[in-house]
Amino acid sequence: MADTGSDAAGQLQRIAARRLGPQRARRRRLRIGEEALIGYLFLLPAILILAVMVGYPALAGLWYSFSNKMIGFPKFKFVGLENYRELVGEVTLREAVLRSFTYAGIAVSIKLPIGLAVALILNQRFRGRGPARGLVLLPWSLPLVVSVLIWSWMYNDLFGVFNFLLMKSGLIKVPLNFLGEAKLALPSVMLTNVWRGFPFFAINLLAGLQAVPDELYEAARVDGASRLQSFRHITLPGVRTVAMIVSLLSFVWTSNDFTTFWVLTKGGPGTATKTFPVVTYETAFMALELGKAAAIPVLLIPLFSVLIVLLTRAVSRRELER
Amino acid sequence: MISYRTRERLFRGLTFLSLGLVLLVVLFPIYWMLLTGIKPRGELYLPEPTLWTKNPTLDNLHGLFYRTPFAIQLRNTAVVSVVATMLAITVASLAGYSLSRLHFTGRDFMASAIFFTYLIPGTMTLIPLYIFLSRLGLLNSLYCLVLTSLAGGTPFSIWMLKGYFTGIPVDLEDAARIDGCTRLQALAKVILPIAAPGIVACGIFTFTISWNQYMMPMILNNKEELWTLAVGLAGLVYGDVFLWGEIMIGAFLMSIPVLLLYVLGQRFIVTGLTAGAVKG
Amino acid sequence: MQAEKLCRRRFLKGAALAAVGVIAAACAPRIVEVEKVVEREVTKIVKEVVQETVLVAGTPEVVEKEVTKIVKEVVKETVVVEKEVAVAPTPGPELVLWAPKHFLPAQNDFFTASALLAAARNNFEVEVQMFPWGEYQQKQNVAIEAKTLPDVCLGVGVARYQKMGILLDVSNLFAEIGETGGGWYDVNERGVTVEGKQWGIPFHNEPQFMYYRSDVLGDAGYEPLLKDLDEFVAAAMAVTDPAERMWGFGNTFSNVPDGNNAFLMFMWAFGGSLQDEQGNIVVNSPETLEALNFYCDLYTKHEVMPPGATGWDDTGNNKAYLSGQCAMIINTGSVVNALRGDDPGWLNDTMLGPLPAGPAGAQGFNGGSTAGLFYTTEYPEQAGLLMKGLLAPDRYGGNLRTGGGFMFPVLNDYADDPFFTEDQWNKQIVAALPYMKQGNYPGDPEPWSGDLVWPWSTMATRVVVEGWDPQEALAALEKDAIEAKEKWDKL
Repeated sequence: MADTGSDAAGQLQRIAARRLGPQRARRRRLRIGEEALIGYLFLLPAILILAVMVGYPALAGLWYSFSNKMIGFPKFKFVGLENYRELVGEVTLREAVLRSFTYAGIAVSIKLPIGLAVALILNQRFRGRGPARGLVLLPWSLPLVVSVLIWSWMYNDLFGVFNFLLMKSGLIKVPLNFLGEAKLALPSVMLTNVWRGFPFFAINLLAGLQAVPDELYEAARVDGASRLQSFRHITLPGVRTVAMIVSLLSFVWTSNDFTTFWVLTKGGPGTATKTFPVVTYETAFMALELGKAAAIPVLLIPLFSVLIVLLTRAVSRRELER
Repeated sequence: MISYRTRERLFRGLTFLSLGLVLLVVLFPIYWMLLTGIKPRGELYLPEPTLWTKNPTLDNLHGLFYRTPFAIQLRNTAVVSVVATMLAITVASLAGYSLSRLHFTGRDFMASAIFFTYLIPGTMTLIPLYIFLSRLGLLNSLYCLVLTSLAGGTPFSIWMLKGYFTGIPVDLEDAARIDGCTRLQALAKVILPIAAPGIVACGIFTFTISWNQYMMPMILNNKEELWTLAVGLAGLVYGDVFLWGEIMIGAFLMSIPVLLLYVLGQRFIVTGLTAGAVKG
Repeated sequence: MQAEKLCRRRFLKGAALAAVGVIAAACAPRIVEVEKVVEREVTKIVKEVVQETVLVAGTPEVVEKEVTKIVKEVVKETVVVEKEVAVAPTPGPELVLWAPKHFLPAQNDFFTASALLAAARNNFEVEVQMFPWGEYQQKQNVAIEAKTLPDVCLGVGVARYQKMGILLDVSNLFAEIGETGGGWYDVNERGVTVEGKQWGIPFHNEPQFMYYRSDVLGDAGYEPLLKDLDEFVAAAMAVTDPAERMWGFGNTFSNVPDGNNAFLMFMWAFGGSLQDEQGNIVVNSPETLEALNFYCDLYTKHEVMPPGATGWDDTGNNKAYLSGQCAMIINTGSVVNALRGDDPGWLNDTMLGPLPAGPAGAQGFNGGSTAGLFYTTEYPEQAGLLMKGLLAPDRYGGNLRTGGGFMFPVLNDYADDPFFTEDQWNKQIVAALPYMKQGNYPGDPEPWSGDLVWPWSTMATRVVVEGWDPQEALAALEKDAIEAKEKWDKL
């Protein structure tokens, strides 16, 4: 990626130098500065939008996090790191963060293989492949609120279709309390998330699969490799980058997921499904403690950053190896 | 030893079986949603839910139109989604070009910073954003909704297009520039046409995000006529009275345009993501 | 294919009609119909069968004869008497009114019409904006911070907002409206009084009470209304038969308003409460512990509740009763309303009453809504007139009636409305009203309890689902309550 770029710049400069002659030196310096100018100019709309819509509120949140600001009380004072100290000491939050990360980690590690399997299937040639690919995206395309409501309806113990089918087929005698039993609640929410999220993995991994040249597979087959072997040595490495990027994105989105938990269980039963987005919401809008609530995501950003850095390093190492 | 042919046939059989299973899992809740939407109210709360209904009814549909200004909200959602998508494509193309073709200090920092915006949760940004938009006078309009859609869809689009542009050989662009094009013209005339699949992919991503917006339209706009479909549907929940039939049929209607978009554009999505994801 | 075409055509037609309808409605001046109760003389022809004693062949015999009589009766009818065009004759101040959207469109429409009428009659304009319940509090929070509050808002938390200083003192308005309606109910007056002044105008009461299936209970030998909690448990156990899909008591045990509020009734029944009359936190008492144990035993020991109740959403107990799987539930009038609309067969067997008496008597929980005038309003006088109009004698009654048995009056006069005295179920609810208490009972309304996040349902589910010791769960709740109170006392 870097190579092509500098090559082009170099080439252009040489062409330009040949054409322009004695003024070459001055032009070259201008050209470098010009590149930065154009670079930032082209980036400007994006930076503007994101700075205004995300950056500024984030900074405002950061500012609040060092205060004891409450909703409805315009006067507040700065308390330095007290919010952070309190949060770190709160058992509820610690448990919630652990719960969120465990939940997201497991969810992603389920979505990845399922997504890969579906991508492999959709990569085969068959009639109706197009509509099949479109249909697979359906769970991801529904509004989150709606898809969660459907699942809440299906999980019901008295008239949910899941319990109905399970009992009718004789697998269980008593309806399962999907959302009301401590051990079942989190897995049930996870199932909803997996249903909704795996199409994102599938479609991206499908793209990755399509980028692996057919010649590699041909060569492997000629050499006598089994399907499993070509899968392990050609397919997996080929989609590794995509898989890591999508997994990271999904981890971030899944751990920040608020709506699914709020609509399905509101953090219950008890505290079985209280994740940190739920705690943040409750702190901000029920206890009205805006300052403290703003500190929670700030507290977690370092953790996420570590993950991002690790990933970026892994990806660039992979590219160097290539 | 099983012959090669038989092994192939077995494999294909397994593939189709798996596909069938996947589609079943994916589509069953959708089917349940549609079924609930056309069931008459009396059938909704049966202790033994029926897997199909003998008396499909349009009552829920009528109820939906009666209780929410569905047509107006549909218009709002469509307008916001289309405008946001077009803007996102423009913005992401420019940004993607800059990040993939040009060299300047802080380029990599910018690339990561854009990605970082996904780490900021909505709960934290809601109030400052609301106050800011309120001072600008953008509340109670469709403009603010376009902005929020852009904020959600642009980072991913930029990442995708950046990777895609990188995969396009520079010579094509150089040729155009030597002929006298400015960078912008080169971008528009040479790169974009080739990157069309990637563009379509970004468009579909942003469109989905915009189409499904719920929290922002609800908080930023006060009038029913300025809300989107997702808000209208959520409004059919009145405390402990859920109008399940109306909600489900509304959800089904809502998902049709997006589904059509996907089926039509899935070819583009995949090809678009190919170059973007792998090479980036 | 034909059906498909029809569906699509109907959909398009419906969409087009909806669009036209809304545009038309937005353009046309609003016409509001005013109802009045009038007496009319009605002529009826009545055929009666009378017994006459006639002489038949000399002997007196009693014979039945059909006689036609013309009878004039005086009948009371609710008639539309006036049509007012609710557009202010001269452009005046513009106000914004916020209200939650209820599930009965007729009620929402009537309410909006009342607001428009009040505005038209007093030379100002009002825009009524209605929001779904779910995110209504969110909207208010955000508006408070951004200072984009409406002039009048229905559905405010008086104690909290008063502490923030964002409400106007409406003591005079309160007194005036009270006079026009025969006085406020005690529970409502207490609910808006902070430090001797009134900061909100109560709008409606939403009592929560017990529903009884008299047919199911009758088969087991119990007759509602049950007289005390012991009988309650016995009856619930008698009718519970999971194999037949019938449970005695169905209460939402999860983190939703229904579930959270129901526990309060049980707590009060045993003599416990969150705070005492002076506002001290007294929740960690033997009485509350007894109530907690009683409540949890219903689920774990006696098993009279469907096991899934810990995972229900707010509609769980509604659905349980409507599908005939629970013989008793605690809810607001929304279920009665649903029964009236789509009777599954036991509307007539449904009886309503307070929670059966515990050691401290029968109990009920009172929700409802209160309106507040925000300090940001530029037209406090018009805002007051708006409130008066909403609660005016010629509008408020209709408002309650269109509420379908879900909304109950806050002013004494309306208890005599035939809607409440003659309807079979409304009568029963009215009879239960004296037992209704608000969350802060027996103390004054306070701002700190809103900090507690589903305290009661969390406590109960901790014991029942996570296996906590009841005393520990109660202590945890007490600790949270004390923290919340301290925080707000410092503000």
